[in-house]
Amino acid sequence: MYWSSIFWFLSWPVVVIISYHLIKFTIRKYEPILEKPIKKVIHIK
Amino acid sequence: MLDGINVALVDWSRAQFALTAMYHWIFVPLTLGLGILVAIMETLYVKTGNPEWKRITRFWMTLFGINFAIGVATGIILEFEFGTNWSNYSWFVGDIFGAPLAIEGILAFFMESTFIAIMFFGWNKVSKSFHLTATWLTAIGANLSALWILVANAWMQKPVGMVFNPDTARMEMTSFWEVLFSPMAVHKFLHTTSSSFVLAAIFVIGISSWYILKGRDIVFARKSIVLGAVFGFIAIIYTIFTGDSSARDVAHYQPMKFAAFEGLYNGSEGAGLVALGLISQNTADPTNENLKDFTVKIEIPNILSYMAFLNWNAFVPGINDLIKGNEKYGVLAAADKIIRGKIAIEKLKAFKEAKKSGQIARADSLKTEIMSPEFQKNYFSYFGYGYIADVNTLIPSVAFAFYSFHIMVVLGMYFIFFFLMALFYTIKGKIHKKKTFLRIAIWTIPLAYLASQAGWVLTEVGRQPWVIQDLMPTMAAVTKISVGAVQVTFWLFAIIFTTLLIAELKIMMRQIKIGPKTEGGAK
Repeated sequence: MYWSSIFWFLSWPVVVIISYHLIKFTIRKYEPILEKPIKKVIHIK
Repeated sequence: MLDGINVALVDWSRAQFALTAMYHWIFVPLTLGLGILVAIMETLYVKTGNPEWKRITRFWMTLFGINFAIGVATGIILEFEFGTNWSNYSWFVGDIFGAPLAIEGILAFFMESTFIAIMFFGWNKVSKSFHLTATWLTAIGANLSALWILVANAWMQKPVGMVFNPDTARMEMTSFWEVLFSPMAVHKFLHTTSSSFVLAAIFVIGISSWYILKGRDIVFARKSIVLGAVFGFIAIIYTIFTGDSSARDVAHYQPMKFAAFEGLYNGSEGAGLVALGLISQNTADPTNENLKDFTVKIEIPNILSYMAFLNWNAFVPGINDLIKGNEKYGVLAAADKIIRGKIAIEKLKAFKEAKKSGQIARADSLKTEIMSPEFQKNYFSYFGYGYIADVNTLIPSVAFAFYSFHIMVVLGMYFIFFFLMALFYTIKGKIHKKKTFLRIAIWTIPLAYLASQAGWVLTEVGRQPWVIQDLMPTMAAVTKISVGAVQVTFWLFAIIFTTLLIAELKIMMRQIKIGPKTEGGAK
């Protein structure tokens, strides 16, 4: 049995789970910036 | 030994399979990556209860659905071609190849088809958690389908877990687990799926950039970019690690492919990696199409040896070593392998004749000899070489292998910086001001597809002339049908696939222009 292959195979769900938590962390931390509306500059002639 | 084989038939059959596989691979990586991304988006919706995440999930889910449907259509044709165009191959190894393919079919059609229906039509009909489970199962099901097809492909690159049956002259599986957990299969699965995650992440960032450039759906686009950039960055790092393991597999089991994708003709200790190079015709032997040389190259010393054998000074065999042999490093010459292959074929022929003529004792004795570990190791493992007439045909297209490998690697490096820049600009609240970057992000989408296709070109062109490494040459695998029939179906498929691609692009662009909808269908 290729134990190192099985170990490698199990890294796949770990990467997906880590990705989810890192995305959640980033979104939560920067949510105010992400939801901030863009200031539109109005040029009045 | 394959005098009756029509070269045009082999070439057209290969062209048809390549056409189908490359079109199929336009749709598959997005399905694999976007499925996981959509599942993550919906998890954020269920966990936070924020309706914005539902809006984001539903938009990307629509694009996922369009892509999924067309991907399945091209995939079915691909599986039929094993029977219609490669029946000799299917007959020889059907016992082994059929098993993962059957599981792939069951997973693709049962698991994905069941849960994708809930995923699309189950909103407001089932509970949030049940819907989320269906989304995750669809995403995981799609990736597991890919696992089985990649297990089948990896087995062709490195046959394991099987034994040759002289009575039927077919390969038979002895260990399912050995086939499934072959290092080649696992590394291939991880590398292929993680690179698909990269492609999907680039797709999400690219489309979101278009919204920001248009000045609409800004919050949706920013959140999608952050999601894509974080996911893409993790995926590209993982892709590099798994790609490194895959390259090591190739160095061990397919040394000719390894030498070809690095343009390494003369092996050496402490071999350098050609980071960038331009290939031209070999001036010493311009008549030999298989021989190429570098016009210009940038080489990093010792890296190739480390990449192949985790040893800075290890010997990496070059194309010339593998053809002419290298006694010092124990590399057998191709001509010797051909002799051994021919002995294996002759022995099998003698066994069949003895069996047919009723010489039971002789047949039994020959069978015992064929099945002995010594004969299997020294002769039968070179079985396919017995069909090779010219040693030069053992060299794959060096230019194809070299450029496809380097396009994949260079673009992979670019994607690291791309994800970091996308994340940095977005979390600093500057992304809407970076018009040039936003335009680059849109044009990075086709580059992701190019890198993905290049990876498969390297895998499949680089392993030629083998359909099963060292055991069956591609020309022996083809179905003996008329060239005209293959030509007609080639052009027919080319028209159908192109139409499907245009249809997908049109439907996707229409959906993108409509944009994410709020609850109830209104924008």
